[in-house]
Amino acid sequence: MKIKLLYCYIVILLIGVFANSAFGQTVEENAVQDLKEKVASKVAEIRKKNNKAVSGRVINRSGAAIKIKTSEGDDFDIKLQESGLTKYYQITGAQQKELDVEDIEKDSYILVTGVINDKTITANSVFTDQQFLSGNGKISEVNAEDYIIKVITADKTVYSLSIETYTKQQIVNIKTLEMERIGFSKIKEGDSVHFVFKISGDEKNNEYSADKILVIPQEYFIK
Amino acid sequence: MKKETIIAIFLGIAFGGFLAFFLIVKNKEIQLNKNKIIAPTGLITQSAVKSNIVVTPLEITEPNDGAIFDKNSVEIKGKVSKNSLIVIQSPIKDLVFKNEKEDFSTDFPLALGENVIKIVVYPSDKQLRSQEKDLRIYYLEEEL
Repeated sequence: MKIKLLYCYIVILLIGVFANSAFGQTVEENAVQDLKEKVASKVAEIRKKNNKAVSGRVINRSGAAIKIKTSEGDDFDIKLQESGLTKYYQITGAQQKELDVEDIEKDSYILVTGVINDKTITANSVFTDQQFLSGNGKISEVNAEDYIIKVITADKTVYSLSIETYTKQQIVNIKTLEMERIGFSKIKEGDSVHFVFKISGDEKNNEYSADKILVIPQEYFIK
Repeated sequence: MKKETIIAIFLGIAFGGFLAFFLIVKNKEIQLNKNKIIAPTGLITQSAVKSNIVVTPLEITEPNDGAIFDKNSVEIKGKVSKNSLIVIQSPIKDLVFKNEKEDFSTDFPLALGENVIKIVVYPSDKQLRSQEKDLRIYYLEEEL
């Protein structure tokens, strides 16, 4: 009887030891997994915090380095990381697709994300994109024959904007402040205008084709 | 001297004095109207003071220039004088509205890639110059 009881006791003890060991292992594994997730999340957070973006046109391209000039005229050196650490994409409308490093050519307009140190960026990603400019000013000349308007901005820059068939032309209704579609004939010298155009890099004499214009009639200011 | 003569002399002097006084006052008025005022009048000074008080410089509190987003819209928040005409323009969106309070806030869509956004404010006092700010922000889908 005593021996049976002893066997039972040993069996229960062994089951307890195994169960405890298995449970302990699961708890340990969970703790390790939690720690891994926390570390990964912290690393992602730090990378996101340090991740900045700069955009500009490629003025020099050699090996693992690119030099760009921003629209403000600053030069930045881009360091491309090897072993697939730097990713390359092309943005077309609402789509983005992966590129090879060779596809980044001189004169391309690129956006670079990464860690910025003074004027050097260690690139995480490089995107080729379309460069746009949004501006505003006063219409100083309307050429109804060639569908061109001249706009002078607050900093005295004069833009010559060609109004194309695809140009979205709108005017602000000064009573309702709604935007209404207009034709070229409604544009007058002295009106204020807001405009957007694409920059390809080949333009001369500040001549651009307008993507869209929004006119604020001069009557708004003498109301 | 006769009494009538004294009265006549007295009336003559009184009438002459009155006429002289009238002519001096009238002449002064005519001179004042002819002269150009160099110093600001009270009304102009008041208006200038009023303008100084009312104008709040345009300030964009959110988002920061150069910020990166992983979603296709952003809330633009700022501060400017009340009842200004605010025009926000990007390649994909135009927005025109007036702000009832100094603080304004509006949702604005973002295109994939770079977003060049121009914010121009025309103050309610139309004699004042417009103010403008540029934002260059990014909507990117990248794996970090």
